[in-house]
Amino acid sequence: MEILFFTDSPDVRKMMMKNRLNPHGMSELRSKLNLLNEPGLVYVDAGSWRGTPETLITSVGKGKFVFLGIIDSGGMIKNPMALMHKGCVDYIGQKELASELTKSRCSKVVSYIKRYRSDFEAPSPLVKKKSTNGDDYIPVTRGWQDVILNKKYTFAIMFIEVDDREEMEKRYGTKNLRNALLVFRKYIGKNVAAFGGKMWIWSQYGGIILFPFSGAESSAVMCAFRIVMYKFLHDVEESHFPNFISFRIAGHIGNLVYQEKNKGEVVSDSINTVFHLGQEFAEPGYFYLTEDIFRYAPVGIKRYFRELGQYEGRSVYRMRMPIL
Amino acid sequence: MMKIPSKFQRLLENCLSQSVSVQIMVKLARMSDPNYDLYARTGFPLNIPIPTINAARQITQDIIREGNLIDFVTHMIDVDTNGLMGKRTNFRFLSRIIKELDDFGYTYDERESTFVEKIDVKKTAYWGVLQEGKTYELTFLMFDIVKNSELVRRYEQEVITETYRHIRDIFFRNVEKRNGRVWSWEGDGGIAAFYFEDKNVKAVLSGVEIMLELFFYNMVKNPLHDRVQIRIAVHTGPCLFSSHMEKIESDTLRTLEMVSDEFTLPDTMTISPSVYSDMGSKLELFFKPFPLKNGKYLYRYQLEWEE
Repeated sequence: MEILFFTDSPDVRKMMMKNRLNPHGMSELRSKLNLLNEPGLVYVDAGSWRGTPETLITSVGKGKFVFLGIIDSGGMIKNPMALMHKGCVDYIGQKELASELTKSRCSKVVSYIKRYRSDFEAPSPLVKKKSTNGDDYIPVTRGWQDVILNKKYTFAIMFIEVDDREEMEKRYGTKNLRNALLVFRKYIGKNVAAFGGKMWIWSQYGGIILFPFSGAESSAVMCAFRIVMYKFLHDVEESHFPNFISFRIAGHIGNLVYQEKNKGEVVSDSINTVFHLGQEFAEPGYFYLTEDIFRYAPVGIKRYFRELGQYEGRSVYRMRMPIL
Repeated sequence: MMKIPSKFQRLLENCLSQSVSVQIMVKLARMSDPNYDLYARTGFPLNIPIPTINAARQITQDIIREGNLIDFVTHMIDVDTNGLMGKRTNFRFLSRIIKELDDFGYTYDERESTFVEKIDVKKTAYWGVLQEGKTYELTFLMFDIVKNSELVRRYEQEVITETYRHIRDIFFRNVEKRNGRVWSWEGDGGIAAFYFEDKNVKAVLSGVEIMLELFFYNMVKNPLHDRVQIRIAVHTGPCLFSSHMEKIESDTLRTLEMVSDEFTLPDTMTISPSVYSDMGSKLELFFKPFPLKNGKYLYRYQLEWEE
């Protein structure tokens, strides 16, 4: 279950950060709720909400997967139990803010929801889900063993490409470059295999990786995140490049007819999207996700991404990079 | 100590007696034990030459009994390859001796010019190479879990035991993957040693990878509501080796402990200047220097994120 916090109050934000919670501004409320694809416990600071607490419940608490908790930072709510009667699952008053706004309390509320709320439904992996352009997803439950040639499925699609290829060709010479790129390919292949992905297209400098989609959390995002995080160790221990290698990653999810080797015959909007994102939008050295796949990223990873804006009609997220 | 079959003893005796003079045998024995006195060991009077076969048998018995076999054969390989005092010396049966040692769990590493344990066969804290009472240049990595007592108090024993088992696995796996050895583990932290080539780099890379693995552990697997935080310190220097680790007293270890306790913040790794100087152009970028009161510097690594 995803747990989200919204406030515009600097004091409440500070308190949340101190308790290792990750607050969002009120302006992000709508977009974050739209991204929920599983039940979410959503705490909203009533003091940062422009309307009355009742309107907060009617506009936020009625979302399909939303269980609402109210933070009463301004101490305005006279009858907290009335909120419970209207469906809220938690209330944290002004005096309890410092001591009760904790992960431990949230865990207790989640247990309560799962046990006692009849409107709680664990997400089914096979529930029909749609992409941002309205296509129904076609998930598989058992990964590659369920994928049949020439049939259409949903895949998490990852684009990877080494940056500055022309410059590298000039600097390293063909033979050295070929060897170094082979080592890089091995690094990608080893990581991808560990997360159930397959290198589907690979030219010298990069390619496309496919991960079958189960309908639930996608392993592709964690895989790419690890590739970025462990890149520096790879650079020091394994890489044949004398300098740090730089590459871009773009991730998306969508449908395509599976062929064992893509010979350029696969026509797919999803492949086009990921290529455009990786080749035209992405800056060297960064990792991007479309909102379609970001929804299926593991919850803990999401805080390491920032929303950048729109590209080809979709929100795009970029990973905050570790600083050397 | 390794148990040596009598067949191997005879092989070594034959190798020595059929390849070199008594004088060279004694020179070889003294490379492992500088005070080795063949006459005293055999009881022959000083005015009588010791027969080759007697010398070979005595030296073989002595080096095996005193745990110097690996060292002795390493010197034999060196003499066979490079000669002795400008003279070529070849040992008969040397390849068979190397093969037999391989069967005992020691493989000859040509890069390091020494025998090392085959990790899938055996794994000792001293790589099967360090000798009791001798001083070695080693690199140490100290690892500890921050606020251990608080965590132990706050969580049920079952949960905390499981969590610490995972963290212990992370520590051991990353140390041993780079041929380091864990010398001590005390439930909430431990010390690992690194020897051989690139020991400073290997210790630091192990530290970096431990921190990365712990980052993912906290994100995905950690059953506690608190993040598990660790501290890592790395220092290098001489250490008098003892197979009883608890008896080892060394200034290097004392300095390491001080670097860890006094200068290492939670979720960071601190390395000493002697370690930093070996980092190379890529790895040194991981570290930021910070000054001490005495004007010297230590170097810190921590996982930081752009906004």
